[in-house]
Amino acid sequence: MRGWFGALLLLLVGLSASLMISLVIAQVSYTGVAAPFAVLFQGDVVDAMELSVITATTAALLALLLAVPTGYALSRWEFPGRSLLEGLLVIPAIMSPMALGVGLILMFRTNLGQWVEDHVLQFVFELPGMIFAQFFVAFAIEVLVVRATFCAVSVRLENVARSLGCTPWQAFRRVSLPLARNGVLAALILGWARAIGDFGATATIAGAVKGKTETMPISIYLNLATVSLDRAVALSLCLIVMSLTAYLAVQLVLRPRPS
Amino acid sequence: MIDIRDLHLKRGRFALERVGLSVKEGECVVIVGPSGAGKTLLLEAILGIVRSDAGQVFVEGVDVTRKPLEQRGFSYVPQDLALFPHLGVLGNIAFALHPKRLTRAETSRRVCEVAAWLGISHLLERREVDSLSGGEKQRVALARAIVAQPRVLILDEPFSSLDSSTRHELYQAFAQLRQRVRSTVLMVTHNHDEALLFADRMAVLFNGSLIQVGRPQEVYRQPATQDVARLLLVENVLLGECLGKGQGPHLVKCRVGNAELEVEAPASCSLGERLWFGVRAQHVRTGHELSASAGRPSNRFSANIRRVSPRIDGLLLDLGLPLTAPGVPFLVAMGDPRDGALPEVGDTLMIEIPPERVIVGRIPGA
Repeated sequence: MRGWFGALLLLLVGLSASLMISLVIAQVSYTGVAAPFAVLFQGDVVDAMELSVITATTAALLALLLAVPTGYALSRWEFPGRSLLEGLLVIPAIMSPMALGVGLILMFRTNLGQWVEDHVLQFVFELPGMIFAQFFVAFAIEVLVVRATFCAVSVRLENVARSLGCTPWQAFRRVSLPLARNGVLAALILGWARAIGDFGATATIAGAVKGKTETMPISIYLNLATVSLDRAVALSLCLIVMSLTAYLAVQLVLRPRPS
Repeated sequence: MIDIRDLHLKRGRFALERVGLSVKEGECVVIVGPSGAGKTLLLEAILGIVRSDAGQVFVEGVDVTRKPLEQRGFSYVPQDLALFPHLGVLGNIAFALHPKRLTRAETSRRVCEVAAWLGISHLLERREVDSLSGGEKQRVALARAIVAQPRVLILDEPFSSLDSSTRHELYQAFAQLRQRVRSTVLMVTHNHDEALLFADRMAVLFNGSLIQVGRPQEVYRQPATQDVARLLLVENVLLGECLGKGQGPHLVKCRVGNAELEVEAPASCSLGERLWFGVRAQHVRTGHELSASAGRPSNRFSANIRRVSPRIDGLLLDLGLPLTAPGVPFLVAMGDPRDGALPEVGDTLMIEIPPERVIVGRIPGA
């Protein structure tokens, strides 16, 4: 594209890229390149990373178990109020994470929630609570991606499979699910990336307790509060790298197959 | 074999209206109709993909109206073929045998047999169906549909996406396949060649209603309505009224436009009754053909040539005739003139419309 419009686009793309790059440069220039690396392998930083990976992976996988059937059903069924239901399911992706956390805490103040806390599993200020909060944010994004993926798989393929003797479950398992495999994988990666970066919902239900509920974002918050900038920057850079890797992985998974 | 009774289905402003159709065992019934007539919707209702509002579908005497698609015994090839893109050629064909739980050897034997019938044995190792040509995809889709020996094969415009030469190759392959596999076939098409080639009977669907069902030659010879006549490529559809007895024993004289036309009388045609007339362009005699039928002066007209269009087998002439309203074309097909003298716009041409070649129908409610 040439002419003034092309030049304008180039200028605006450059501005967008430099805004994002400045996020990294600002952090590195404040602490220097060596300092974050120096603290990267210290015990409490590694613990935060470990906790983040465990909670985010568990939450993203559990969310996927629910997001696949839900997204599939939403892509196939027509019923009154479907848009409203879709809106309800993706609310955690668009609402304030802090508000989500408040909602989660109050869930465990209901009779049923209290009973679960007393007799099944403790969530508030505990590891299951962190996973539960991250489950919500991961599920919302996963169900969006999975639904869009199944919408792209023609229902006619399933109809043909059924005319060849498959039950609806077999048509799903043998045709739609294999065709949606890459989209489901992309949903898992994006859900995981969203879960590992969550602060608001996780901190609200599980609290920001050093050494106990200290995920990477919570650790950044705690280190900022105690002016341990090297640690905060190291963890922040780690999260940036993880996000970038997740994005590149999604691109790789969703690239068109050469025919 | 298949008995469709009073099938009714409404989708928005469109409705399939009380469709009834029977298909005998081993028979091939072809449903023809213009775009938007509801052909695909009818197939989907028969298959059970969409639920009908009323009516029943019976297969071998069993009511399958509320049965799921997989229990109806139909094998379906949609217009876009719907080959499974994650499977190779072998995987696509063998897919249909999976629910039968055959041994690997038996599956392989059946796949190879059907592939040989359709001339695609050399494609069985292909891992990508996306890279096949249109004709190859078509053969794979047919192989997948018949490998499990279904009771009924349902085809939705199966050859529509192919170029002319590939389509004719596939016609031969499908005809041979029908000799080997005696499945009952229900096919939708808007291609008249396919209807004539494959149909034991054809059904004409118009605006969601079945207008006519019969043997293809009968339907082509005597379309039930003006709409069916136009659909079946009757170029000239004229309106008129009965004036009384004609010169021949079975002929009646009719006023058509500003002229009189003699036609074979429909049963109990009354004086003044409103009728429609269909005249195929190739049935109108012109030039040297007239001398052979000399002695019968009725239905001869002198016409002005308004336009000349080339056809593969000659010319199509648009004539100004008193039979049609001003500006309405009357089309006549003409072979290549023997003396090489091509008719030109403005020339006068003598034509004759043989009475026995005129399709006559009543106008309902007139």
